[in-house]
Amino acid sequence: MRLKKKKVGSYPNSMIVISLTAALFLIGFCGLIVVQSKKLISIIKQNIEVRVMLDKEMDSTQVAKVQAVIVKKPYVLVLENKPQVSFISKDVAAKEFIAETKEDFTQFLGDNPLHDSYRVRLQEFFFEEAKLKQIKIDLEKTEGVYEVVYQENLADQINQNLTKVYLILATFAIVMLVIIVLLMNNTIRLALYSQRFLIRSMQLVGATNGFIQWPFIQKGALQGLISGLVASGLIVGMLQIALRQIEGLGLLQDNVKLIILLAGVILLGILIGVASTFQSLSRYLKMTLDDLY
Amino acid sequence: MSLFSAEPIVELQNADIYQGTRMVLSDVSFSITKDEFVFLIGRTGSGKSSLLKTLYADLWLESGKGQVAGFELHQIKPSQVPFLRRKIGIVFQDFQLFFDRSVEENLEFVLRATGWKDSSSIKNRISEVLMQVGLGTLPKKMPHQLSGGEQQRVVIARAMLNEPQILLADEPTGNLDPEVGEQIMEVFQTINTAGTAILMATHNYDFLKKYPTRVLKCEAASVVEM
Repeated sequence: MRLKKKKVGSYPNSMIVISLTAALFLIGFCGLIVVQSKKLISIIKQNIEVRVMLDKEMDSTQVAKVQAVIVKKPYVLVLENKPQVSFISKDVAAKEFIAETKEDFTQFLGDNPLHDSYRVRLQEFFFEEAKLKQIKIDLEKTEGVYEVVYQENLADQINQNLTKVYLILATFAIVMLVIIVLLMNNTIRLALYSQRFLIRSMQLVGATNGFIQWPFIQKGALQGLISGLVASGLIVGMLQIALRQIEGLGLLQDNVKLIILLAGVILLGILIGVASTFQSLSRYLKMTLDDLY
Repeated sequence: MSLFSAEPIVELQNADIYQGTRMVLSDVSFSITKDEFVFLIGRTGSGKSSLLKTLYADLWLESGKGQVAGFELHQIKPSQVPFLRRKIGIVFQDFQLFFDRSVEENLEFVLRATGWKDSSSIKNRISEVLMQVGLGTLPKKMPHQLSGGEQQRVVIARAMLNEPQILLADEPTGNLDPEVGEQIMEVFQTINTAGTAILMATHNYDFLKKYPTRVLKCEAASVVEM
């Protein structure tokens, strides 16, 4: 019976492809969390308001004057050419307060102590505690402004927590990368050992290292491509399930960024496949034939 | 270098031959010219194989000077080694055939590995070398269907594929019975007569009597002319 021809660069695929797919899926998943969380944070940041309380007893001209000053500030969010500044009269504010607390304070105070106010949405860039403090100082200088309030420390807390999450995800991704490179290295070393006679013969007849490496590199790239495609498919599948299960998640979708992420996962797969194959091969091809044995 | 020049194909000057960190031969100087047939003898472990490995740059020449087929061994770069090996043919006991492919495929594999691309040129060259070693009718056979002598002829044919200037042979008849060994010697003689130099390491002293020619002996960590 004729033996199956042993091709140069042939070695068991499944272990490498499964591990690389798992690593790429987890890396892609981390990327997806980063993309979605960035979008979520962006939405949160844009919806956080600074409240500008106005002095009491101001007439409508004075109130309009204050608004004219606020809308010109560079940190005010502008959507569709409209500065995101809204006026809340003290009556509306009282109603909101009563609705929230279920307690009608006007009954025992006999008066509405609240102020008319503007609610100002800020650009994402200014969402830092130090910048918010500057904005508060700046707005409080405006004539007719009684006080500027915002939820202090919220910005820094969100930013700090985000940094921690990104750090954990990055560490996780790096660990996965190291594991897959080591695994490929080990598998290729075994492959080279099992093909040492073939490689020895090629070296002795004058085959260049490039010629010997090429089938391995091709295979590494193919493994990376397949793993990248499978991992991308898994990410898309998982996202579709999540979209059906989690209400409101659709708001966070950014298809352009998702496509970039998936393309990145596939390219990373090919890069890891080629780079780790090349690195392992270069090391072993430098060995003398006796060492390879 | 012209094939018809009298310049040596192999030349060593005051070369020290190392196996790892151990020096096995010191102050080796000799040269081999085109058409020469040279036996290399010596006891097991005397340094014959290390000397041959140095000539095909599997061991680096760290001390002294050496030249093989126009390549300077003392300053050869790793990237040049494959091109040196294309100018020499190597026949070893452990330089085995691939038993998963036919004689023709074994030879084609080598040609493809050394840059041959045109299929008809490959086919022609394979026919030529098989004729040269007397195996013209066996290209489709698998190695396990051949006798030991026939297998060794295929190995010699493989070494001849790129028209080497010299064949380096390490115990090419070591695993063969005397009669078959003699037939293989005849093949080497024919190749040598056609213009390829041969350096053959052997333990078979009968060959030395039957084919009187130049003999180098590895002895007491040096190489001496006999």
